[in-house]
Amino acid sequence: MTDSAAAGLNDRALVASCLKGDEEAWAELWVKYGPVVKAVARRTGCDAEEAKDVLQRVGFAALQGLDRLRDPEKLAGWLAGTARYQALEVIRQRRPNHQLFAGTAVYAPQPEESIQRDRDLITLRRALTKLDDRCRRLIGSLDLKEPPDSYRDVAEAEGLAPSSIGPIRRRCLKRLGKIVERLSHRPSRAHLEGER
Amino acid sequence: MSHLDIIHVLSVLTGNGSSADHSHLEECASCRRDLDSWRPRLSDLRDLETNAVEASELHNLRVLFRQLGPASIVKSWVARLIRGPKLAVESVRGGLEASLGAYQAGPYEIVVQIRPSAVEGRFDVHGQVMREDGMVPESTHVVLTSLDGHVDRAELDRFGEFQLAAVPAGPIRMVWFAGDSRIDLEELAVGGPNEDADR
Repeated sequence: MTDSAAAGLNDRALVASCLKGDEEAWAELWVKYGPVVKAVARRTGCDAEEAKDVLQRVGFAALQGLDRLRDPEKLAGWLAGTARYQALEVIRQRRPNHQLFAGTAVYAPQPEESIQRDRDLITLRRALTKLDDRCRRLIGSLDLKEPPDSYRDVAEAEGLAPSSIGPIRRRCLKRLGKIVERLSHRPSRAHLEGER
Repeated sequence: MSHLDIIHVLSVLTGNGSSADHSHLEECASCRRDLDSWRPRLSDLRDLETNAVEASELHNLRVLFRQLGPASIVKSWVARLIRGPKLAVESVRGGLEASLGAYQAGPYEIVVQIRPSAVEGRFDVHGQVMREDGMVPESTHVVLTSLDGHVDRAELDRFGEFQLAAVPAGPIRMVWFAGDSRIDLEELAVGGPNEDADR
């Protein structure tokens, strides 16, 4: 995450700042949604190198299309849709014999399931940006890394007592879950029931 | 009844759950729902982590913004059609679907030809950009985008010509960047009705 003034801006403000020529807002936009773009590309069938290409292509398209976004709140969905399209284009160009959908990439249908998966991914990305840096680091080190770091290593890196890592990790995950549910407008079980 | 806490839920999802966790899950429908909601979430989290934007990628995106972003543009024009595709279409050898239009923008003249591509259902966009004095503008490239996300970029060659292949049918927008200048072409319909043709 960049430390610029653009960090924490909502999508509408990010788009407005980009259109004014604010490079930091532009960079922030990609720190925020670049992983979504690349993840959508991978899910569409791109390899890691192709996903990088897709990111640059979507950046290119965004630069040309930002002013056409009548509702900047739909930015993330537009980026994901463009990523899917560009991913199919990259595959079509690099692997001409690769079987895509019937017809060409242009007419490839976007199943509702794919769109919902994009939405979930975007919601999660937004939720992550609302978590504090320490929570993001802890979840990254303990729940996403393979193999995960030890509590002792994480405690040392964070300047905390090892015994505090478990409770903090738990709070971070619960907070993330609540933010996701709030952003998804889904009720949280934790609001209704106690936890062991 | 108490429930599995989130760390135990994630332990089960990552294959590290204890037998007590699994036994509890068999009896607790609420915990199973929790497990089901975290399964795709954990997968998404990993996807996002794996696909974080690298410093080099961010650098490239910054360069793109400096080159093509709003702050880099000092002069800009909207290209004005001066010879319409309706007249020109007959002069294009090879097909009724091809069209040719000539535009003027500030000190530049632009010719755009659109014709069917070798790729079925797509079109090739070919053209030339010249200054009024007949010189080819240096360091000029064109960016073509469509509403559905297609984007392509081409440099002008030493004759001022550019070629964009296999453009999908539908509305497109073209922008030329020449140094600190930007030229926008009004939206065109490729492979469909063209509003310009009615002028």
